[in-house]
Amino acid sequence: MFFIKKLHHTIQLHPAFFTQNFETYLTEKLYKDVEGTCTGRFGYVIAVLDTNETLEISQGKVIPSVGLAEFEVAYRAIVFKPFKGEVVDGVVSQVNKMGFFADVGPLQIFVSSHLIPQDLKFDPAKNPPCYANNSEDSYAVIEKGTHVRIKIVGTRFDATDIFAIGTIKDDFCGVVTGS
Amino acid sequence: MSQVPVLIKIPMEHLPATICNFLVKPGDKIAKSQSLLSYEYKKTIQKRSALATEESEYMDVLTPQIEELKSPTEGELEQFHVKQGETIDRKNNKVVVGVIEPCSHSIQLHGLCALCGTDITTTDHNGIEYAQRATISMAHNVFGLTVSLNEAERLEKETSRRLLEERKLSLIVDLDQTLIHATIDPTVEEWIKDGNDVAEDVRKFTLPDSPIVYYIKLRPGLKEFLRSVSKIYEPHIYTMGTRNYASAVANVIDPDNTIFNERILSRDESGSMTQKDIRRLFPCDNSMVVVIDDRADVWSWSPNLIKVHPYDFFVGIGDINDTYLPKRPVPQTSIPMVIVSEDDSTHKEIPDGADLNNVVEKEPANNASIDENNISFNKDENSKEKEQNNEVNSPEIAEENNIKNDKEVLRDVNISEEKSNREPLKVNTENNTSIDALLKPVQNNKRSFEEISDVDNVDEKSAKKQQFDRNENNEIKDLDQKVSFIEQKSISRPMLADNDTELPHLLKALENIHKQYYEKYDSLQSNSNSNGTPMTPDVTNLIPQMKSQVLKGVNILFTHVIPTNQKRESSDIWILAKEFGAECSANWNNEVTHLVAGDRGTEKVREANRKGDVYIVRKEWLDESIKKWARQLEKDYTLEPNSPRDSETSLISEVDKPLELIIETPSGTDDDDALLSPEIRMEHYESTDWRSALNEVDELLAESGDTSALDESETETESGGRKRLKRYGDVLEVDDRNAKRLKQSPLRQSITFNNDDDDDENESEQAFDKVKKHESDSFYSELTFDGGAHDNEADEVEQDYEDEDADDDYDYGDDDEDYDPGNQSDDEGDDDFDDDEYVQLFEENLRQPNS
Repeated sequence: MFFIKKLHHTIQLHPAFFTQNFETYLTEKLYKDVEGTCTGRFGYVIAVLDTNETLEISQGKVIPSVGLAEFEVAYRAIVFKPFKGEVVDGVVSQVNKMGFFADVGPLQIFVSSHLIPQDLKFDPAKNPPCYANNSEDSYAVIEKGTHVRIKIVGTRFDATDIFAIGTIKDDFCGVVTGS
Repeated sequence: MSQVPVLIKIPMEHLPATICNFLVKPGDKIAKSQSLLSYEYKKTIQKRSALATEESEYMDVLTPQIEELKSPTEGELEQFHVKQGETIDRKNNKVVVGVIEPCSHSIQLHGLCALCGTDITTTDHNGIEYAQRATISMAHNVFGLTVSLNEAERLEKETSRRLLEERKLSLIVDLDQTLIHATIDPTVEEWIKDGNDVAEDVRKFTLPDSPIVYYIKLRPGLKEFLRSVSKIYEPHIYTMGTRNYASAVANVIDPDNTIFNERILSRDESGSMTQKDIRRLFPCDNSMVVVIDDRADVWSWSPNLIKVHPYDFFVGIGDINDTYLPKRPVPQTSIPMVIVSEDDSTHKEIPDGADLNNVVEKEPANNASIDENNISFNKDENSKEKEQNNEVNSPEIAEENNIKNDKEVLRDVNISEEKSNREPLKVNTENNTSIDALLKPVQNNKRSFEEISDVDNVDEKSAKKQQFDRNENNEIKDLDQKVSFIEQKSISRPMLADNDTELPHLLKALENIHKQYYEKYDSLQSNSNSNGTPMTPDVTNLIPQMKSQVLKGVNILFTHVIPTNQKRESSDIWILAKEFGAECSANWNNEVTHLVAGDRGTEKVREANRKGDVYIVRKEWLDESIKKWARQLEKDYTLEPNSPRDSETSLISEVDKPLELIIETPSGTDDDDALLSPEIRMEHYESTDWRSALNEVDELLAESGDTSALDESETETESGGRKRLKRYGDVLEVDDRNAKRLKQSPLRQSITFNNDDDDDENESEQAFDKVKKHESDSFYSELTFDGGAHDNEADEVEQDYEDEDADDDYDYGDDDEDYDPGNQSDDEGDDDFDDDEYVQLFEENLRQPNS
């Protein structure tokens, strides 16, 4: 699920950048530091919403004996955190005999072969290997690159990483046909 | 999904115990730690007896206690296996109750059950550690995905059923030095450009995030091999290279991805840096797996393994991914390269040192500057050292230059990156070791040659001495040669010849295994149809059995094959010979049928000659027999006495030559001697005590060959030698010219070369001095140059860092992050900032993800 969340970040600025437009440096540094990171608490920071003008930058404090200035930056960011029971769309990145992995943005979800409908059988001889059913009327194949809809059945949050398990055995889950 | 119930027993320390009450009924849902039943047991308690007055009067009293048995897991009660009132004692510690779990957690990913999504990293004192349920990692390209034994068995059964249907077997192949040979030597680029024939099969690629260009040479016949083998096998790649490297190589050798089809296991996922294990891919059943690899030790000599001869195309590179592997135990003995030196006529004047080693040729050049001996001795044991020398030394010089090149490449690389960081490091270590190797051979030679055989009588001692001297002689020629090439600003780089024939033979062996397996399978199938249990043959029996037929009945004694500093029984060749059915003997006994000799001049060869009924074969016989899985004809590999590669004969002739020169020439040319009639001369000739003369020469050789007595030996040897020569017969007057010739004979050179420590030499031998000094100077200059290269490198690395700092006008923060421990923690002090109730609501939501 996506949220807009107010977050804080502390940035230290080298004296070489104590110029008129030091805010620009701070902003760019902020983008570079936080976008794409993952914390177990808030999930993935997808994008910072604030720009140079709207950022709340605290007064800089020069650190004694170092000379760097420390700024506290408050910003709004779009964060993505998966939850149990959530249904997400993803792209299959890897298929093996034990199941497949799908990328949902920055998150990787594993779908075990036990949580794939029985009629989809693993076929290692195909290139690339895939899960496919043999019925003529509703042919479905899951291989690298296939778009799938997955229901998340469990998540685990590390300090800097998120793991998720999904199923496509549920209603309306499985291969998403393009339309 | 049918579930195996969790079986619960009463704790051992509570036995014997009597069941009192059942607290739940079969079919009930049970929460974790819920009480299932109560039981009574006797507990030992120390009690003070009523009568006791002394402090020691404590008594152990068994007191009945009631305890409840709690469920370690949630689930559904299957059934009780005991009756009320039943007593369970220690001998019969049976299962009391079974609980069926809703999920067996048999597939796990990073601490999550892949079946039910439960976080299984949490443990409590009472519960079961679910993480222990799935410990087997068996997927190729995923790290962190583990399965339970049951699940692994299920998956494997599926695989083997499919393979049997397709009549295939699994084949695990190694990449480096088995199918390909890779290098990062940038000079390869040059000779690709030169349009070298051999370079045809050299492909190059770069890995993401690194500018380093990898050059890989496909082993001859690889395409055909893979095409044929993939029809009867399902190949898997198992390499010690990184994931990116493995994919890139797979892309080259299997561009349309039909052969390996993502069955690639790399170091990133293998879980071990030093060992390879079939169980990583086939955890339960290795009966249908064949492994090919050039390293048997990393597989612990698994019975599934077919050891192939390492493919060594780029000389001196070795395995570029063996940084973490244990050192290769045996020095390579036969290298599939033809060592040819560069022809002067085709030599190009190359201004840049870095380009030195890219002048390569395929055809043997008729080179004037190289002793013919050097080529003709090829393949005998000396050439082994020579090859090592060449292999190590010559590209070494190039290597130094390459480092510079590499560094230039590396300058752009982010040093902190693990990958690029490793490369220069590796080059460094390689460099160092090879410098060691460069310095060692002389000592090593001495040691190994002295230890070769137990020599008793004087003749043999002298023979040994001769051999030793000759060996040094050869060594010197090597250096000579090398030095002269350095002078010429050119390098005698071993030519890259591509005469490896391993793969066709390997294919034949694999086809054979496959055929035998399915023949056996078919016969087993037809037999076992009646009793219904499916029987399949086992490759782990089949391969050793097939191997052991090859050299059955052969009893091998090695001489000059296994280095003396190595344990015989653990050397590759010894183990291989045994695997292929041969018996190996440490010493002479009546069983020995074959003497595998690396050199002719050993005691064991003489002994074998005396015995007469023993085949004396070169090591190639054994190599070829192993390679082709068939005993080769001994007569094609006998150690022929007159063969030019035979070291002993050439050795003798070489020793004899100067003698002849001295004796015959004066008698033929001197006027005084001309007066004597041929008969008288003959008489003189015969009356000379040749044995003592020879001994004297030996002594002379021994004296000057001794490195400890270097300085003073110079003049003494000269005069002493002359004195003695005069004594051979009064008729023999050694004139100056002959003395000079003696001086310049190769043997003489060998003697004086040993003086390379002292700079001020005997004045009388100026010409000779010059040669020698030139030798030693170049030798040292080369070494110091090498050391300099290292220093430079270190400097440049430092430079790199500085450069980076200077260039880094944007990433100012990166360098400073160390100062700020709280840099990354976005959430610090959140609550102070947000009092907004919406935000609080949101945070609550975030904190309870699964509610």
